[in-house]
Amino acid sequence: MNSTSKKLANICEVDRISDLPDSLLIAILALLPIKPAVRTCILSKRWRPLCESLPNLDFTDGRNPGIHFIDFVDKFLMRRPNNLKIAKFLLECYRGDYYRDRVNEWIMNALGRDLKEMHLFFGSQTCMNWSKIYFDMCTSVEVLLLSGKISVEIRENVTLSRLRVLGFDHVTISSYESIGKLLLNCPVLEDLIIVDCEWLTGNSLSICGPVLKRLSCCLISYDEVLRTLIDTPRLENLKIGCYTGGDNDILFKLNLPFLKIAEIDIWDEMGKGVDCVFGLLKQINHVKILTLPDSTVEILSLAYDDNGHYEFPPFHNLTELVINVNECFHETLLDDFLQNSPNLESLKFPQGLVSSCFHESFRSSWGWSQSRVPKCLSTHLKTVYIRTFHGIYDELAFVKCLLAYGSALRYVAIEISNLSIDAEAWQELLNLQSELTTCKLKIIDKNETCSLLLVYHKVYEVNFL
Amino acid sequence: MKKLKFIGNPLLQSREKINMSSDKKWLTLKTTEDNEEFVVEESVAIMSNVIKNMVEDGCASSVIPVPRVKGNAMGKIIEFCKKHTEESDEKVLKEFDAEFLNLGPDALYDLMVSANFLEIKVLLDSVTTKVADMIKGKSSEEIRNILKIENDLSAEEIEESRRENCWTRQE
Repeated sequence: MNSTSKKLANICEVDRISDLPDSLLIAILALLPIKPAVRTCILSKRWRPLCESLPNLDFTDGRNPGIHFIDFVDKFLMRRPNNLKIAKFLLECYRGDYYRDRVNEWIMNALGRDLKEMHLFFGSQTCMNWSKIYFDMCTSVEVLLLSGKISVEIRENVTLSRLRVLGFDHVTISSYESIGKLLLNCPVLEDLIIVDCEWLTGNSLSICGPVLKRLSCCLISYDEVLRTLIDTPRLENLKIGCYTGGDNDILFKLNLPFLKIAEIDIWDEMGKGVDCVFGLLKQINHVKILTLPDSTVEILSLAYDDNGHYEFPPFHNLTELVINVNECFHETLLDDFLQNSPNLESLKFPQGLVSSCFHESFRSSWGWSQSRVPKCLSTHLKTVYIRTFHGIYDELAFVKCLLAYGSALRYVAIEISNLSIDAEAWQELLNLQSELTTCKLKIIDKNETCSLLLVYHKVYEVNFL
Repeated sequence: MKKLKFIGNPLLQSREKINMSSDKKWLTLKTTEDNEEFVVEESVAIMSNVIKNMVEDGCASSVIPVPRVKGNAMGKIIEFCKKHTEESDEKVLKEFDAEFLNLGPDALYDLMVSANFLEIKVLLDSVTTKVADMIKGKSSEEIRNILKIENDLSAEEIEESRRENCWTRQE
């Protein structure tokens, strides 16, 4: 190409990018993962020093730390000029035992640089310490996520005025009460995650957040009695999991008027917890999307053994129900839900329609009260997803019922759990598929990548997507 | 001779002329390098923090001089700002940006420098992301080719850098 056509094609003839100011080149490098960003130091003299000013540092020891990793972090963190800020600091240590002391130094250094975001994962045999003084240094931090073998000392009287997202995942926390005190000093917190942590003492967890929007709280307390109080008037998204053995108790201080999405995961080994689950459902019955894991479904099913003196709350706003099954559940539970959800549009069964017990006499499956078809089925229900479909009689009966009564249905997706499904069942599904006019029945495999087609008893995979 | 440009659909020009007397505020931006003038709505122009500050401080007269930005770059910038002021659908904007930034490196640098100077964050972020995407996953040789960077490092300097950062070569 001659120079004229090159100009027309807008191809760069000379190095113009190196004329850009440092700040813009660094902004470009900041968008790359750290390893390629650092490798640009060998492009030219101009580029060599740029990677030392990267605003986001992301270190993963990759399970094989060695001296190279430690040297690298030292270079980019410890030997960085003092006045150079860091925006994000992500550190994942899978073999933290080897350099635990260095980690404490790195955290102190990073926090001292007007840090906005810190993610720390520490995997090792024994815990590392997240000392109180780290909280003192977190005044500029907006996102703090700690996970793994970290023993967290909570500082109770420092205001974290910028903190929007806080997460404790599998860490050890001194006491339940200390979290309550910490949260009182987080005025702008919007996201809180407390999952599977170990607690040393305490029996009262108080989660208060005047502007908290999303709460994901999973508490395992087998030994102690735990009282949980949730005071989050602006909550939109709630995921709560806990064990209700004995007197464990969850209380919401006020209604959650803005709540739209909820997942309630309650489990219990001793056949208790019905009160707890029904109590929770009554307080969140205005949600739009509700997910029930299998343990909660089991507990709800116990209510039927008690001759049903539990009143099912109405779910007027519910548009999507995700319901999981595992070992056993009561057959009319789903029907009760549907009867009380007049505006339901989407129904999802991530673990299928039948329990994992295959012996017919022990198996649970969903049934209908044939006397009254749930209103939502004929007026609102548009989509149904069924996973792990085995093709047995009960499942086919359920699907037929759905299709027969579902005048508003537009899309049903059935995932076949294994391809050796009974040929008769296949034929039934295909017959259903061909008879449908307003509704589309899609039969898919596990990866949702293709539709399955049966021709002369042989299964072909056809890529439609 | 001055060129007066209306940014927008030429068929709507007459309607726009009528609208000029209504309560929409209009500004004239003049690129001092090549004396091109652009008439834009104030709401579009203030996507530039620099112009926004001038308007708020009250020191913007009817014609705002814009140094360091060439006429054709200014035209493109106004096109971008106009679209981002009018459209709120994320998907549509994403498609527009992809099409809009389908430019060679030269034009991209011009945009970057101008967006940086005029402090238009949305545009600067988009162009920066585009350039980063161009070099993502490429080897040093490939990056030098794409960006036309001349390697002026000695073999020893390269070796030293490689040794210091050898962790980046591990997976």
